Amino acid sequence: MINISNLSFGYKKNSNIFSDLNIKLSAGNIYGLLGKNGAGKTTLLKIIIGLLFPQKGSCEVLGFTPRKREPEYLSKIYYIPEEIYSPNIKIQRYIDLVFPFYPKFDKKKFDSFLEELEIASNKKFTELSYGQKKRVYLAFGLASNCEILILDEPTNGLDIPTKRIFRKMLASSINENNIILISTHQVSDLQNLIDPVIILDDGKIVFQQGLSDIAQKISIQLQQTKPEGDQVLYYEKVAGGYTVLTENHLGNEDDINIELLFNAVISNNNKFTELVNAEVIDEKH
Amino acid sequence: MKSTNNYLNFARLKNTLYSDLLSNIWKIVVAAEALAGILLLFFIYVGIGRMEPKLYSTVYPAIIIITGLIVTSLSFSELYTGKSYFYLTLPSSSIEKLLSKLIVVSVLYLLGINFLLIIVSIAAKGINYFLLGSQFPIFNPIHPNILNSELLYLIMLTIFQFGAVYFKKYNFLKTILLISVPTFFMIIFPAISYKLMFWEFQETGLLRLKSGYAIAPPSVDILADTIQQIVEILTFLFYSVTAPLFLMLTYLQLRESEA
Repeated sequence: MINISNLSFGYKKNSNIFSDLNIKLSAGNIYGLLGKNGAGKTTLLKIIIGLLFPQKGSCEVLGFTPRKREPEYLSKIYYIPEEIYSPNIKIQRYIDLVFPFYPKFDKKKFDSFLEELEIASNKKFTELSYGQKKRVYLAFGLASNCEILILDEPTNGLDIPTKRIFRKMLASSINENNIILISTHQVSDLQNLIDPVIILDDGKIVFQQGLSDIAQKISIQLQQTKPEGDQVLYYEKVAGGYTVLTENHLGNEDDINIELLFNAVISNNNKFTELVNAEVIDEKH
Repeated sequence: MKSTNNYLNFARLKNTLYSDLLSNIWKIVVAAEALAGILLLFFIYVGIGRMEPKLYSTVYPAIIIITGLIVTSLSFSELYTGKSYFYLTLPSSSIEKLLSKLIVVSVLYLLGINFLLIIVSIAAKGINYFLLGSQFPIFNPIHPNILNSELLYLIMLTIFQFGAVYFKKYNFLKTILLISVPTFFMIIFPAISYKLMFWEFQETGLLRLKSGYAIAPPSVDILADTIQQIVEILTFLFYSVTAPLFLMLTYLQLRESEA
């Protein structure tokens, strides 16, 4: 569904954010796009939707070239950025204006999401808080039934109960025909939802795997003493001891803590990288 | 895979137009009210002073053109604000987005400004008559000067629409600068050329060549005819080429806009 090959992009000449970036995303998944600040996550999302144009290489989404911004393409993809637009009109009026552009938009689903998120549609956007505005857009995005839903920091501004409802709504919205691509720093908010995980670092995809694949390779333990030895791939100090990543020899599949995984990938530990790369090579074969 | 017309679809154009109009409805209402208030005060002031300003040759055309060009300059403000992502990802084509804005700043604007001027002039007439005992004429939208100024506005708006898409800030002022600089050089260059070539003629009645010969220059009548022809050609070019050229440039610029 999303196929990016040899893509290069930079905001300034001779200063590329991406050089020869390659990525393939297929339907039926909620992808988590992770990376440090300035890694290029939002830029990549904008290239996929057609808001920024690649300088080299190709980006093909659903058989369309995003930079052409053809209406048929745009009606199949919905993007909710971190900073959202709030028109000075009532929610209901806004929905009436925008939904005709999205042929698969489900009004009943939207109303039920809005009810669940405790938002009254007769309110004006300008009367809502940032988190409430975000709820409206999330409800619209999920009710649009677009093939591709792109969310940039969707849980920012949401309160704890809303995050729970959002997770439920998100889980109910994924099917074998669509992709949800989420860029976030708040990985714990979406811990059991995002899979596979894509990690972007220094303009390159340094990790792209399903969590069950990685769980077969690594094991997570909690120990009280500082870990030492060749078998330790990565560790972090936590309350009461250390969380340690080691190679999985026992065949057990532990739940992977995405934040820990992210830190391990970003730490540039050679042994860990080799293990991950071996996994990628195995997958290709 | 691609099944719909991705260039121009009238249902999508209608939806884009609704979206453009209704999402900016309060801005339009507030701007119209502010303009109506200013005009009413001006018309009452004219009545108090029992002045007879050149309404149809100067005041009304200036109001229609300047207000319209300011509105046009603001018409693509979405491109450079926080809602650029929303505008650019709205599922309509660049042609539809351009046409929608064009309809707003041409047909709808002219209908709106004419309606506003009629209403305000009626109010001014009533106030002037009953409170001040003076006269104020009701605005006539089909006066030839008004129709001519509207035609001029329709051409000029295409230049300002290009400026609205091209410039991020101060679109109106930058577009005026964009027009003024080449116009200035177009005027100053022939003037200097004329002065350099014909200054001696103005003094002696003869045109001295480098070879040493002196010839009589072309008669003033011939020059006047030539200038008249140049003006006619430039006028024709302005009315026939400006609008399509700038509409095309605006479309290309809009298509290539990033957020």
